[in-house]
Amino acid sequence: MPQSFTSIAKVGEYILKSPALAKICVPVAKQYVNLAGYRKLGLTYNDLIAEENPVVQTALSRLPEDEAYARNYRIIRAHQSELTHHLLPKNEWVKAQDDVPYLLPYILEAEAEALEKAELDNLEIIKK
Amino acid sequence: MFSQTVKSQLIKQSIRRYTINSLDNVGQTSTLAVKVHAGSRYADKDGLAHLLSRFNFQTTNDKSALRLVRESELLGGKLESTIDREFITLKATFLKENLPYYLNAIANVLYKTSFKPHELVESVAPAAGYDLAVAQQNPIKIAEDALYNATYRTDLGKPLLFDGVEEITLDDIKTYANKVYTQENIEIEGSGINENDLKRLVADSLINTLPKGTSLKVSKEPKSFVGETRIRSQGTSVAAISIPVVKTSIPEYEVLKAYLTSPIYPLSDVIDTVSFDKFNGSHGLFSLYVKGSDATVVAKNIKEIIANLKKGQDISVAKELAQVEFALANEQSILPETQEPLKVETVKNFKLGKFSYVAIGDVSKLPFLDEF
Repeated sequence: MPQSFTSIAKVGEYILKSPALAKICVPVAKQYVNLAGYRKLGLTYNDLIAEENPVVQTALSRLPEDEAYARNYRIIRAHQSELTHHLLPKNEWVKAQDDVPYLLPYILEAEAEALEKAELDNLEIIKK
Repeated sequence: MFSQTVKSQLIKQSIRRYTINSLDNVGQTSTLAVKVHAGSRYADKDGLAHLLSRFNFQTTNDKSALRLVRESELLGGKLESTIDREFITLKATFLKENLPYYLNAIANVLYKTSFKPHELVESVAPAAGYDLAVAQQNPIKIAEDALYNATYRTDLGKPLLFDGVEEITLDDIKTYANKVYTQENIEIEGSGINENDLKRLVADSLINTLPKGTSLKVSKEPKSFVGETRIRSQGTSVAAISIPVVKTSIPEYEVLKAYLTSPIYPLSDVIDTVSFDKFNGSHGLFSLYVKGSDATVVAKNIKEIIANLKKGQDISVAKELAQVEFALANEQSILPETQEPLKVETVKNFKLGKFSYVAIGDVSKLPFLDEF
């Protein structure tokens, strides 16, 4: 498996905690988001996470109904925009404050569970 | 005067706390049970108590459900949470030396289950559905639920298991847990555990910091009715009757149960089950079940039994048997309801009066209540 979301989240937290690193990384991240352009299709960053693996599937199944609906709507709208080779009208672009990691907490929880299960499955018992 | 106040304060203090009872024995294993007065009769919504009991031993703030189960497996112990009309019982069976671990596990469940939304959907609801499916396979269980419902309507008459009729949210379960998991509302029972050890450990555990609340325990007999329920279903037919029992006639029904289940009673062969459930030692429900694959035979048998009991039976012959059975049951239970032997001197004749009636299965062949 590639890098786990847990480790990515940890790195992010570390960067934000140290002012010097944050000063360098945050503008780069902003520029990246801008160039990636997903917000112009009405998507949020968490909509882009590849969902074809058990961890994200579990997280998606635990998503509250309204959030799951909004996610599907955003994805379908983005597909439609792509098909017609148009960007959304500017007032419908996702604003930075709306680009929240709605899925990430569920992914982290599912990942922690999977990790714990793997650990427990491979437990070595030492009798004292 | 002064000493009187001090005394009453002391008594009050002891009432305001959980009770601990324990019996030590020489065996290798111990059983620890925490009984919470939180059974179906206390829940505001039907099935709420069942869902809460299934939420026990799920993820707590300290430990995930999976880790708890795996650790417990490694220690060779067993955790279970059961529901009846009076209690939610959290029970652990384990090797003697692991007492602190299991006490801690149960305390964690009572104190800080995290009630995660996905657990309700992913593990609690399917487990509850399984319980219901198992119960519905058994016509005696269906009859029991129907008898309680016909006899008491509310309170004890509420359905035991969650059937999805009433919608229950996670918040309902949380609120109910906060209401019932209080110091005043729990009883701790141990067997194979030294009582002083247990008291010391409990005093150090989270149970001691459980919030204060009120005891929900009901000692008054709920209002009872005469009712009839008929449920059409495939398979085995069951005809059953039930009689609500007040405190003073508990001995009489103990003797009646012993009499009806022993070969002294000529019709004991055709009776499938006789049960006598007592609640808080103050009231109970006596019930009698006749079961069979052929509804006409069931109808004939139940009519015969009821006609026989209505005529009046001298049940005093089963006095000694009842006393022995009662004493045995008391010896085996950790917390006997009473230490005194059964008072059976006054028991003589039993004549069947009013009763509730339930027919399950091929109901067109089974008799109606007014035909008896």
